[in-house]
Amino acid sequence: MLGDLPWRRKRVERELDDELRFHLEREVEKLVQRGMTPEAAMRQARIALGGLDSTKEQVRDTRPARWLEDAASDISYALRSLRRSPAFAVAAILTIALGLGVNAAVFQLVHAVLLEPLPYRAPQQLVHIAETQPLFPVYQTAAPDFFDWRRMSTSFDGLAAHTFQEMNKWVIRGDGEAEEVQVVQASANLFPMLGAQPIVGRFYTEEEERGKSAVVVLSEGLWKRKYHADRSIVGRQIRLVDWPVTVVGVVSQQQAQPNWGEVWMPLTFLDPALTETRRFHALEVVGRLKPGVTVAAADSEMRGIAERLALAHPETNRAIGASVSPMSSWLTGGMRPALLIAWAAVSLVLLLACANVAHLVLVRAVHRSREMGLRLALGAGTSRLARFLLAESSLVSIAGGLLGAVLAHLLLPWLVEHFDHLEATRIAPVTLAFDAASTLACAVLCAWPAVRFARRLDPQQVILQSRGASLSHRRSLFGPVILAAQVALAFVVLTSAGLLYRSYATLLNEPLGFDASNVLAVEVPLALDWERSAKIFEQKVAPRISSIAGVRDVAASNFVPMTLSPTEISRFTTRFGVPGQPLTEEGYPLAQLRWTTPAYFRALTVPLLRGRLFIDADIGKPGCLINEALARQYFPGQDPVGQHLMRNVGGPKPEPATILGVVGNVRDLALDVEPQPAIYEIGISNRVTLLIRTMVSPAALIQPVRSVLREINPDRALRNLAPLENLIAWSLARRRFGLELLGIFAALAAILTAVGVYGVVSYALSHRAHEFAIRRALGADGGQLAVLVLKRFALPTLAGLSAGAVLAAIFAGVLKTQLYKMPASDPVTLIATGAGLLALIAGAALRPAIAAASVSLKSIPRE
Amino acid sequence: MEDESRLDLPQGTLELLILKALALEPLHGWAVSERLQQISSDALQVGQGSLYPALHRLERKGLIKARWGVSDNNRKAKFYELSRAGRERLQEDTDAWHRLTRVVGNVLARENH
Repeated sequence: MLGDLPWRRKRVERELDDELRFHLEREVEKLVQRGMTPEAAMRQARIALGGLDSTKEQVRDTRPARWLEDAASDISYALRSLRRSPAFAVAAILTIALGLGVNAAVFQLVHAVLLEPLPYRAPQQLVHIAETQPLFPVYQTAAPDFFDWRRMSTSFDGLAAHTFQEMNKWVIRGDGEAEEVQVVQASANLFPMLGAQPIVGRFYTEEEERGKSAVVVLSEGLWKRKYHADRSIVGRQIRLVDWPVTVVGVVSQQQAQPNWGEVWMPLTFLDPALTETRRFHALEVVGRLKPGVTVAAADSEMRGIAERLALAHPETNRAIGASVSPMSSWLTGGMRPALLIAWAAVSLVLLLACANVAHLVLVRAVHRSREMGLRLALGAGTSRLARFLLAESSLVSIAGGLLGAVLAHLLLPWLVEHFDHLEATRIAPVTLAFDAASTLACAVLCAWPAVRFARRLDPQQVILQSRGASLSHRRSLFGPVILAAQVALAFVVLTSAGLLYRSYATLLNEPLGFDASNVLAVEVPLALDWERSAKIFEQKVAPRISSIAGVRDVAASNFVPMTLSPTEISRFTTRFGVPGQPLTEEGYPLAQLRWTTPAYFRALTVPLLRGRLFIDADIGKPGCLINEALARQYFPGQDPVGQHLMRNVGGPKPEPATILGVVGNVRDLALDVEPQPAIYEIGISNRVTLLIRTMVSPAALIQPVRSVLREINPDRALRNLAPLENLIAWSLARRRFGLELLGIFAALAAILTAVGVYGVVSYALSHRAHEFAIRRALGADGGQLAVLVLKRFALPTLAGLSAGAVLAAIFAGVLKTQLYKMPASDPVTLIATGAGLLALIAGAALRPAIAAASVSLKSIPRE
Repeated sequence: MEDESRLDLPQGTLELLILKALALEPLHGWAVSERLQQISSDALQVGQGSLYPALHRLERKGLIKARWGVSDNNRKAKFYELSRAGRERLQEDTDAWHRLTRVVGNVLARENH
C-alpha cells in the first residue's frame, strides 16, 4: 500500500518494469525452445503482451493514487508545453487575468455593499420605516408621527429615530482648530436596538434622554482624528459651538448609524419647531421586527396606522403613507442597480475572455492532433489527453487568476473612491475565494472545446493523414459557435455602454435655467440665530466680498444647487395655499422653498418672465417670487403677479404673500430631477450658501474669498468652496463613474471580440488556403472568394447579434433604472452598436480574409 | 492473429480464473498465464496484456498477496498467492458462477423449443 504514495512511485515503477521483463524473458525462452529465432520470439512475446507501454499504462490505471501521479506528470508536461509556446501562454494568461481581475474587483464591491450582512445583531430583523408622499416615495418621518408610531404599532421590538443628513452641522471649538462636525439627534434606543457595542465608554440612556442631559457619543473617525484615540475622552467635556457637552462613549465607524454621523445626542434636543408640527419630516426611522413578524406584515400594519393618522390630522397627513423595507436594502438601494450592472458586465467580459482562450487552446489541440493521435495509439487513453488539456488550461487560468488578483488590488482604490462610506479597500478573503472559483470555472471552460475535440480523435486517421486537413471539418462548428457567442456577449456590453452614454449626453443637454459659469459657491455658517445672521451677511460678508476685485454680485441662499441627495429634496419643500382654490386630495400643494437675497437672480442669471425681481426695499415684507412651473400649474391662463399665496398653511397663523414676479424654471435639485414648482422668499438663515458672480475665472477668487471669510470669523468652517460648475459636475459623479466603468468594460469587450474574431477567422481560413488557391487557379476572382468568406462568417455573426439582442433585452430590466429619459430599447443605440460591432468584426476579419483570398497555388507547400 | 475457435472472457471472469490458478500454489505472472492456458486447454484467449492489470487489481483488493522470490530458473520474480479473503472470494464466485451458468443454460435450453 505504501506504493500508493507518490514518493514511492519510482520503486513501484521499477518493480513493474522488472515483473514485465521477467515475463518477456520467460515467454521468449519458451518460444525459442519451440524453434523460433530470438528476434522473432521477442517480437511475438511483445505482441502477445499487447504492447509493453499499453500494459504498463493499464496497470498504472489500477492504482488509486493514480490521479495524483498523473496530475504531477500532466502538470509538468503542460508546463513544458507552455514553455515551448510562450506567445500562446502570454496571450492566454493576460486575457484571463484581465477578465478575472475586473471580476474580482467588482465582486469585492458587490460583496462589501450588497452581500455582507449589516454589522448588527440579527440584521435580517432590522427595517427602515419611511413615510411616503405622492411626490417622494421615500420621505422622512415627521417627529410627532414617529412618537405616534411608537405608541400604536405592535410589529416591532423597538423603533428608533435619528435626524437625517445635512440637518445639523455644528462646530467643535477648542481641542485644536475649530472643526465642523455632523451632529445627529438620535433616540437613546438606537444603538441598543441595533445591537451595536461602544468601543469606548457607553451609549447615553433613556433617563439621560428624558432629562435632556448634555451627553454625546462620538464617532470612531472623529475620536481618532480630533482626539487621537484618547480613551480618557469618556467623561470629558467638549465645546459644541458655545455649549459644553459630556462625551460618554465612542461608536465604531462600522456600526455608526447613520454612517456619516460624527456626534450623537439625545433626540430630546431636536428643535422644538420640528416636534410641534407634522409638517417637517426630519427623522429617519429604523426598527427591529418582533420574531416571526415579516416585513410585509409590518408594512401593512404601518399603512393602517398612516391611514388613521391621515384621518386624525388631515391638513398635514392626508397624503402621507408609510412603508417598511429591509434596512439593508434601504442603506444600499442607491448603489444596488449600478453594482449589479457592473457585475453583469464584467461577467460577460470574463466569458468573452474565456471564449478567446478556449479557441486558442482548441487551435493548439488541432495543431497537435498528430502528436495526440500518436499518444493515443501508444495507449495514452482519451481521458489522459483530456486531463493534460485541462492541466494546461488550469495552469493558464491559475496564472491568470493570480495576476487578476493583483490587478483587482490595483483597481480597487479607484473603484472604492466612487462609493460613499465604503471602506473595502483591501481584497477580502471571500473575494479571493471567488477569484479561485472563477479561475477553476475558466480552466474548465477554456479546455472544454479542445477536450471534446480530443475525445473524438481517431488515432488511425490522424496518423494516416499527413496533415490534419480533414480535421478542420470536425472542429468547423466550434469556430462559428465561439464567434457567435463573442458577438452576442460583446453586443450586450456595448449596447449598455451606449445607452448609458446617450443617457448621460441627454442629461448634459438639459437646460439648467441658470448660468453656472463664473459663479463661485461657498457654504458658510453665519450665526446661531437668524437675526444676527442677516446682520452679519448684510453688514460684513456682502460688502467685503463685493470689494474683492473681480466680484460682480454676492447673493445668499439657503440652498446649494446640485448638492442634494434624492432623500434630502423634501427638506426644502414647503406647503402653500392658493386663495380660492379647493384643497386637493393631497392637502396643501407642495413647492420648493428658496430663501434668497435680492442679488440671487442676478448672480445666477435667472430670467424674469413677469412682474419684477426683489429689491432691497422688499426685505422684511411678505412678498414672494414664483417660478414658471408653479405659475403654469396653479395659475393657468392668468397673470399671477399681484395675486397671493397663503404661506404657513397648517401652522398656527397662515398669512398671505403677494406674488411680485415670475422667474424661469431653475433645475437646481439635480440635473436629472425636473424643475418643480418653487417659491422664492427673501431670507437669510444661519447657514447660507454664498453665490458669487465673478467677472474673472471663479477659481481665481477662491483664495481671496477664503481669506475674507476667515477675517470675518476665524472659527467658521467653510464647505463646498468651489466654482458652481464643479458642483454640477460632482453631482453627476456617480453617473459618470457608472458610465466610465461600463465604458472600460465595453472597450475590453470590443478588444477581446476583435482579437477573438481575428483568431477564429484567420485560423479557419488558413485551413482552406489550399482550397482557395485551387479555386483561384480555376478562375475564381478575389470578389467571389470574398463572398465565400462572407458566407461562412455572416451566419454566426448574425446569429450572435440576434442572441445579443435577446440578452440585451433581459439586461435592460436592470439597466433602465440607470437611464435618464432613454428607453432601454433605444433604436439609435441598438442600431449604432450593431453597425459598430459589424464594422469591428469586418475589420478584424479583413486582414486574414484578404490574405486567404490572395494566396496562390505556388505558395502552398506540397504535401 | 485471432483464433476464431478461442473464446473471449466475459467481464470479471478473468479475475475468477486467476484466483483459481493461484489456489494450488503461489505463481509468478508468466506462470499464471501459462497455467490459465493449460487448464483451459488453450480454449481461452487470455490476453497477457490484460493479465497484469488484473493481477494488480486483485492485489489492491487484498484478494492476492505478492512477494518477490526466486523463480525455478533462479531469477528474481514476483510471486502471487491467495490471501484468506481471496480464498473465500474464490469459493463464493465459483458458486455464483455455477448458479448463473445453470440458470442461463436452462433459459437457453427452453428457448430452443
